[in-house]
Amino acid sequence: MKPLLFGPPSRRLFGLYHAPEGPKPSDTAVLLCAPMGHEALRSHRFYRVLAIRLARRGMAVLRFDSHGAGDSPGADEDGELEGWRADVGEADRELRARSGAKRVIWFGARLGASLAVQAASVPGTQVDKLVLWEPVLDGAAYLQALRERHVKELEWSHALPDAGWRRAMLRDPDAFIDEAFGFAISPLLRRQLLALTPTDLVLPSGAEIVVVAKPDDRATQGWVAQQAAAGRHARWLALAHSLIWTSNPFPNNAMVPADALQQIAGELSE
Amino acid sequence: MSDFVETTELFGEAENLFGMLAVPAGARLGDIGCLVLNTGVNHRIGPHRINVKTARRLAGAGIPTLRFDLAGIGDSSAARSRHDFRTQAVEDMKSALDHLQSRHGLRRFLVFGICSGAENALAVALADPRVVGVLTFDGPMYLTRGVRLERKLRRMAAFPGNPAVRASYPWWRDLVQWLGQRDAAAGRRTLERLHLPMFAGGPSADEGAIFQGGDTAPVVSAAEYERRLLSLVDRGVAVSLMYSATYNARDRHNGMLSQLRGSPMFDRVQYRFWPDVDHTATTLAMQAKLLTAVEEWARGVALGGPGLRPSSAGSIVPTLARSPDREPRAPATV
Repeated sequence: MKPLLFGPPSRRLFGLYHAPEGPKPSDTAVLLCAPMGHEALRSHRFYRVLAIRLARRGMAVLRFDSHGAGDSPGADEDGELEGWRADVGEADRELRARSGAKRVIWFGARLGASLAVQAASVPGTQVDKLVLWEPVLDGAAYLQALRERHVKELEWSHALPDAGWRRAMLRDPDAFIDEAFGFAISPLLRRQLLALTPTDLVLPSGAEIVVVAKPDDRATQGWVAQQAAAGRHARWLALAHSLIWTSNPFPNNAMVPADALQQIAGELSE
Repeated sequence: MSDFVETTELFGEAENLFGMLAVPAGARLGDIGCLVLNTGVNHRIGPHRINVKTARRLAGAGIPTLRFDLAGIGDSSAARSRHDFRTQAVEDMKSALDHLQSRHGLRRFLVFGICSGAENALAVALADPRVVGVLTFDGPMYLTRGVRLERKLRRMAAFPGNPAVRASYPWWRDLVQWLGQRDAAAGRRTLERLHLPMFAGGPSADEGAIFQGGDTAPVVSAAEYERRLLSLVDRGVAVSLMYSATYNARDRHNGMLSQLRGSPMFDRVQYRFWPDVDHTATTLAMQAKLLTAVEEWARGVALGGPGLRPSSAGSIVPTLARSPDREPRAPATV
């Protein structure tokens, strides 16, 4: 594992490069795109173990933090989708330059998956395969879910929670919208997320695409079917797992569910 | 242009430990730095990225700050030793101090930790004489039965009118699920609970659930905890013990350490309760308060000399002299 700070001086990004191990390096490299905010913290361990697994299979892997997230420079408030999409492209260039790989796969979970889809559609971008784990398709619903979870977290973290928090959330649409789980959501990021809809999220043509989601996630399944009907090389993979994206890491759910790791590592290794 | 610069740092045996160092931009480093520790199994950015914000804030204030992952957490590889967790954590923290000393010329250190990080902060302060300041947030609690009872009564009083308080009790959630949704498993759990005393003396499972780690007994007795803290202040270490509103909503007379009320220790350490900040400073407003307090404390220690004590008003003033360094104490283990 090699820690990196890469990208232009005005927008350096933090990354961890896992060089391929073993005598026969693969010609495939994998870029891991992290989710946003608390979900990135929550899935950090999964990403690390996944990267180590893939490197042991001979693949070069780069995981990175977008600007204003994780270890990368920038404050929470600086985070916004357009810049984050560009960061995916920058990380892809870094991975290709370091690995010399002929074939590159992108993996993303949650908003990291949505960003990967958008970044893959940027003209001139060449991605051979996309593996998307529970992509955020509906930004408004995502923001609302984060908002509810934020209030629940506040209630759980106080011996005597303020009953007014929940009332405010239910009555006032502007309450608890500028942060989620201790991570700032700028007005720009909020507007961008509100504009994110399944209709606007179009899979790139030419790449093989695997969308991994829970068996009962009909919305995602329907989206994949629509994309496939529109000529995209997309397929759906049902995966039940115990990871709760918005929980803290410890209460009764695995940090790295073995079945999820196995399935996703398998998809990235094919 | 920011007032700090960050670098990646690999250190320890076989460079198995990883962290990020923030240093003041363009300034010549002094001899004092800070460690910011993992909270639970969260990696080095900390819950809500609080460690990143802390390190940058302190570096901007002139104090180089390393936030890093203990062995086996985040991006640090597991240790090859067979040490128990606490012993290994102390070894890792000492490796971090060694690294900052040999590579960056720092000789004295502050340590800041939340929850499990607080216990680790105390452990390394006891074990390494280079530590001159330790700030713990929601570290060990030593509560009297009176404080527990007062807390319980407040929560009971809020129970009828506050859905969030009701929902914090697993037995209530199970009861609602059983009666409302005919959940058989919830019903079984409810019936199993019927034989349990509701008002046992110790913390209930419900209390434990609301305070992460609150369901576990402290590592050492209250008397031993006091002795350890006094040994630190005798050595000239500035000790700040901060507590959030997660376990208890109010605090009177050093309530989180109520078993130690009357101890001379309270004249020599800073004790601070935050009625408006929770266990991991969940909101941005809470973070702003905590970050300001940490920076003020760190500045006070760094600029005020090797030892500090609280004034009667709670602000920090320098002590007059530093006691001779003691032999490193055996770290606490769990």
